[in-house]
Amino acid sequence: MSYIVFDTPGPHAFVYDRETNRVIYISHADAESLHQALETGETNPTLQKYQQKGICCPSILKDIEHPTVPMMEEIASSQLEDLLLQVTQNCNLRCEYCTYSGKYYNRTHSSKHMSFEVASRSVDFFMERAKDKNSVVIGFYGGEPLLEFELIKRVVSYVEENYGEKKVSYGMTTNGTLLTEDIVRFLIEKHFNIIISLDGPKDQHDKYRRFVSGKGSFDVVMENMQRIRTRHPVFYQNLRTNTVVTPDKDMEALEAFLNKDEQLEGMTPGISMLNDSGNKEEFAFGPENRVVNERERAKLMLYLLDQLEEEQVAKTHRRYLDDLIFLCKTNQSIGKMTETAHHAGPCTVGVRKTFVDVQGNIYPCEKVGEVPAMRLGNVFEGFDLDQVKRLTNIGALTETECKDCWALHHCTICLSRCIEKDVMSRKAKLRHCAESKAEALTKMRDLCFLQLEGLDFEKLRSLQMAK
Amino acid sequence: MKLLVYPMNKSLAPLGRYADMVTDYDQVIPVAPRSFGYGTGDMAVVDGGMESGVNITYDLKAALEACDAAFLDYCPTANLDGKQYMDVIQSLVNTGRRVSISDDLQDFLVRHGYETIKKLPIEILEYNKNNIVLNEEKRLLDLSVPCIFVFGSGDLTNKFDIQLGLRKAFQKAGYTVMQLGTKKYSSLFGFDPLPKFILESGDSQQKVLDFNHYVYEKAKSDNADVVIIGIPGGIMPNNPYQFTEFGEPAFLIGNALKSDISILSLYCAPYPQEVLQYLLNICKYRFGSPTHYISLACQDMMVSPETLEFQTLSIPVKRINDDILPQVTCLGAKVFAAMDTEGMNHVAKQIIAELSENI
Repeated sequence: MSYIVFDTPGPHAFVYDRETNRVIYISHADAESLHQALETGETNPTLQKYQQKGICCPSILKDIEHPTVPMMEEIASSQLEDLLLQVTQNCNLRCEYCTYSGKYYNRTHSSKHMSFEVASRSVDFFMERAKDKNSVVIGFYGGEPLLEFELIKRVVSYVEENYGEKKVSYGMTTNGTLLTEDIVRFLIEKHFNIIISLDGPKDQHDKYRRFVSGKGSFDVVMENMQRIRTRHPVFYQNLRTNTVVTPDKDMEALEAFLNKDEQLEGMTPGISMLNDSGNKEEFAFGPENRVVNERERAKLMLYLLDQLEEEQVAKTHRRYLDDLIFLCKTNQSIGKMTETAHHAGPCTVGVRKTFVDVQGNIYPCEKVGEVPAMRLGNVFEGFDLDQVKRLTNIGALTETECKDCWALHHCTICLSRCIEKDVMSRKAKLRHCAESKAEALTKMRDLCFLQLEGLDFEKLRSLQMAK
Repeated sequence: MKLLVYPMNKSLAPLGRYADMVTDYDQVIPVAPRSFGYGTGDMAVVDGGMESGVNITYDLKAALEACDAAFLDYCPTANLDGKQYMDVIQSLVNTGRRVSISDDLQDFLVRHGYETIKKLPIEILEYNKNNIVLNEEKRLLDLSVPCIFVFGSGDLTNKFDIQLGLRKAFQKAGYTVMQLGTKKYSSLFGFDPLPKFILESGDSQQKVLDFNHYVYEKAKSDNADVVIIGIPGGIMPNNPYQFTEFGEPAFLIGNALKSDISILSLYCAPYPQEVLQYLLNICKYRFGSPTHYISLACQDMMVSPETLEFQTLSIPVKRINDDILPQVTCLGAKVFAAMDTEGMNHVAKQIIAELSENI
């Protein structure tokens, strides 16, 4: 059904109606009746009462199709915004969980690296298709991208010489071990946005992030960061760290390190969960992880209600604030449902991000495997538009379920969650459905709770999102 | 005479496409930096219209040598700094070329320390603030000639292309046109841009009265057979997440003058009939302008699901004609694609015929 009935702490019940994208405060008696109608599939006077007011009506949704599909040719020829060049498949570390570690299908470390011919053609391909974008991003990816520092320098020069009138910002995620003074000066001069992979305190970091020799990389990374902090404090403040959370991660220790370590003060830490797309082994996060998440979410709510200071909220969990702000901004603005729609979550593949591998093949992003099933064309021959449409339109995998899903507008599933053994899989997608619906419901509950507790939504909407 | 236009982009596209209508020049050289992604093809790459026969170049140096005059505009989306603009202007001035720039570019240069721009022998193109003769009357005056409004749902909706299309058709039919254009460079086509006061802050009532009197006097002094007014901006907010404009100029102009014919140009989409009726009702009841012509522009609009910012998407006119127009119908209104020369000519002829009946 296209609505859901839920409650929040305290005697409050709500109905969320997908067709109008509205959340309505209702009585418990009505909630029970609507629940019943949902369970039996039969109408009752309460449901009729709401339907007469245009709420909880039968859906008019007929087809599931991503809104960009009909205009894909135009979109793919003018809207590219983020080029990510895989400058090498090699790395000086051998992190156990890495997508190139051998634990993922069809991805391993190799000595392959991008030639300047492929890199410059990638830039041309991208710029020719970024006509409608006022500013674009060019990122460098690996392996460890700094192993190809000379190529990166040549690419930046090429962009400056040929596309100097376009607003371009550069980015890179690095393991932080190769940040020599020369490299840092270059990154500063070219205004790079840098993310350093840092997996927590020494014992946690070194458990996975080791050199080929087996030695942990923590000391080298921290030493480099300390040098940058001393010599380039402004640049240092703009660095970000990213921590990959593995199932065995000690979240308490991680939080303490990222939030309280003196050296990391002022930096923006991010966390990402271990990529399960294309992983040969199944894994699950334990209850400890959930406990920390719940606690930090509760602290964030208290902060929003002025019961805690901002500093008391873990930086690593402030992303949830962005989610709340976004939901708060977008809720009630969709208007009525259309006959053709698609669930939220997926980007337009190849357009939102254009990931180019060392050989010039184009893929949706770095999170999916570099295999023929995910290939969107190459920079010499262009996009395979049918493939771009197919991989964007992931709603088609679960059309029946999506048509009936109350969380259609709040789904968070993208292509990377629809992959099993490197091909699109309905089964893999459905595995994430329950999780996505639970996330949507949690956010909705939290917003309703916050509003009932007196949070001014306009204040929340006016907060700046970090991402 | 050759006019260089730099940096060519969507908002300057009419200068390249309708080069034959640019007065005093027989050729326009549109120069777009390579970064803009237009390559060296036809102007159609920039505006999505039909092949124009005018090609873009990114060879600025050669264009500077080949041109007799130049028009430069500030392009806020480009990574062009003051020095780059100044170098071009200075080289043109040094070689005795006639140079005009927009007031936006002048402001940008002054803001970036190039006060010297004010001392150079160049012409500034801006909304009209000169020769504005106002009538002493304290009531709205009736125009004695037909008046045509060109509304749009926002920027880049080909409003100016429609204004030029109408101008060409009326002039070809032998009529004298009094026109106020939405582009600051309207004077390059031989007519005035809108008066500046209509876009400035101030007393709305006075602005309505002043605009009415201004058009009345100008139509009279130009001995015009028809008045064409381009309405700046949109008719309503387009982005629910950012309040930018709500069609204030349209409201003021709609109250100042009674239009006989109105055209509404929309971002391109396969609009359902009820949406079009709603938009026509806005024109009719909010701006007092019954509207029976709807154009689909070579731009679609969308709000980014990630940043919630307003974006546009270029759509070639062929795609509009082949796939989108057949899906759009509107009772009581003719729907066409402004950038389809044939479609635009047909609408212009229909409007002339309609007005000729004098009903």
